Amino acid sequence: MTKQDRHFWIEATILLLLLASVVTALAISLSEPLNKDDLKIVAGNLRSFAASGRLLAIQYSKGLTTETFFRNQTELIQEKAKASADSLRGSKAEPDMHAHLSKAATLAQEITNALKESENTNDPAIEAAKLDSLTQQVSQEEDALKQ
Amino acid sequence: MKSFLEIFLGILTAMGGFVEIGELVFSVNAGVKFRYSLLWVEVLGTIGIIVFSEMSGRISAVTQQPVFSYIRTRAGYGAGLMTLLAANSVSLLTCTAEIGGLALLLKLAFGGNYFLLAALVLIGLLAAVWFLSFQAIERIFGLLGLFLLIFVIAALNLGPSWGEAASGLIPSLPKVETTSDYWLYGYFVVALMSSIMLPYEVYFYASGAIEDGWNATMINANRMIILVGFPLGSLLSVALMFVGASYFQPQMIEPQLPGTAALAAAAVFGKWGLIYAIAGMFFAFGGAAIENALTGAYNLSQFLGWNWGKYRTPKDAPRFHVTWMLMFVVAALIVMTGVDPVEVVEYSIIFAVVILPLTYLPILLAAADEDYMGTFKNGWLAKTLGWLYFAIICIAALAAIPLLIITHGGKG
Repeated sequence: MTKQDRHFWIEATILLLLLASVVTALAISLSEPLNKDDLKIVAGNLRSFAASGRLLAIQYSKGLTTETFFRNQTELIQEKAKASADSLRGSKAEPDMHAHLSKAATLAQEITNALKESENTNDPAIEAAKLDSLTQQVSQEEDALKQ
Repeated sequence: MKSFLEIFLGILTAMGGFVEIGELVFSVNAGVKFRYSLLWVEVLGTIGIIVFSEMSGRISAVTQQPVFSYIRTRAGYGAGLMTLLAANSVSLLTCTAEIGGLALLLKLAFGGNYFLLAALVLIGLLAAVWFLSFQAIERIFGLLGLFLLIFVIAALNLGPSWGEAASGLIPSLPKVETTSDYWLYGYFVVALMSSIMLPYEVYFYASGAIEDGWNATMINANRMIILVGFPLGSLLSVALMFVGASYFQPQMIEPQLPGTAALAAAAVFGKWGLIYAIAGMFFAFGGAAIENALTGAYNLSQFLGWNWGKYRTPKDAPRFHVTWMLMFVVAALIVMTGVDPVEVVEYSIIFAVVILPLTYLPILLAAADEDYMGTFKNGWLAKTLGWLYFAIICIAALAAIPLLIITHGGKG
């Protein structure tokens, strides 16, 4: 085997090992019940979805964005929130995290519904207020998970 | 006068083409999560891309030889093939993310079905590369990408904390809430660095120099374009970080969609700000999609010794032209599976770090090779900076995958 052939196999092995380690880590994390860190990440995402929806509604109500932009961007955020809600519904949590999972699932569904209403609303200011309240609630949940 | 105009346009093009979807997402979110404390990475990465782009442009100007033919000669078929596969996989993923990003932007501007819009984007990109010359592609997408300057003006209007920003130029650990945030900080250091130094940028720059017919007389122009254009381009990503820190962090928003980032421009300039931001992103993402598709075709053609170049007709370089079309088609098919383009770009950026040493080592060796470069070989400054950056990207490459796993894919 020449030196160049050896280099090729070494590089190929390293790249394959790296790829395998990522796939393994991903597979393990998907099959395990949700822990505190996982729920903290979910809560962070939900807080960001709700806050983005609120900001969009405020800007639209002030005439800062176009209607097409407002409705389509809200729809895109709503799809992300719905994906989170669906994923939480089918998930299991570690024994001491059941209450947090249940709370996160409820909030995810409420945020999804609020975003759906916002997407079709004629009064964005009301939807902004709803999303503001949900942002605060999910933010408190996130803080609780950080402790 | 003509050469001054060439350099001026080159600078503007380099500036407008600096930001793509990955850099947009990482820069804004870096600002949201760590405010200005990652500013030093922007500076470090920008100097890095300047060092290696200057070398690759110089190699092309002096030798008129593409980078990948040197890689194959120098590293051998096996190692060269590995580099090719890794580089083209990252280019394909990046192209996928850009096409997905373009479809999202069209949806925000005009509405409609995302998948139909992705198909429309595919047709538009194929037509643009087919009908436009290389120079026209560079100029149109690079110059219209300058609409993104709206973020620089917005960042200034949103009242950044200059003192904090100045502290961010010095590497230091930020104030964080939990110890896991330090890992996240490390992840952002690596990802931000990679988003600035993406491998396709140097491959494209080197092949583009040959497309533009550069010779040794262009070496100073090459330096001027890079030394002025890239730092100005990095101002755009710095502005995005500022916008993240001063506008989105107080609102508790971590933008995961390009449209969310545009809200900062709308906040300052209303509907026109929003339209400018979306237009800027559209041309920046479009330019990056084309650059990645062409880079895939350049790399493969140069490695296998095929005729290549946009300046050649499809009859003269059929396999080159089929390859860039296939890059677009496969990328669009991946988009059609419904993957989230932002997640795709996040992973492609992390995997790009892993292959950065494979990309930059051959360039470093070629630029320092006296037999190859003659009197234009690397001087002491290029040599020192080149090896220093090679060490930095090796460390980043080793850290990338563990950080990706520890931080749950950069989520925290």
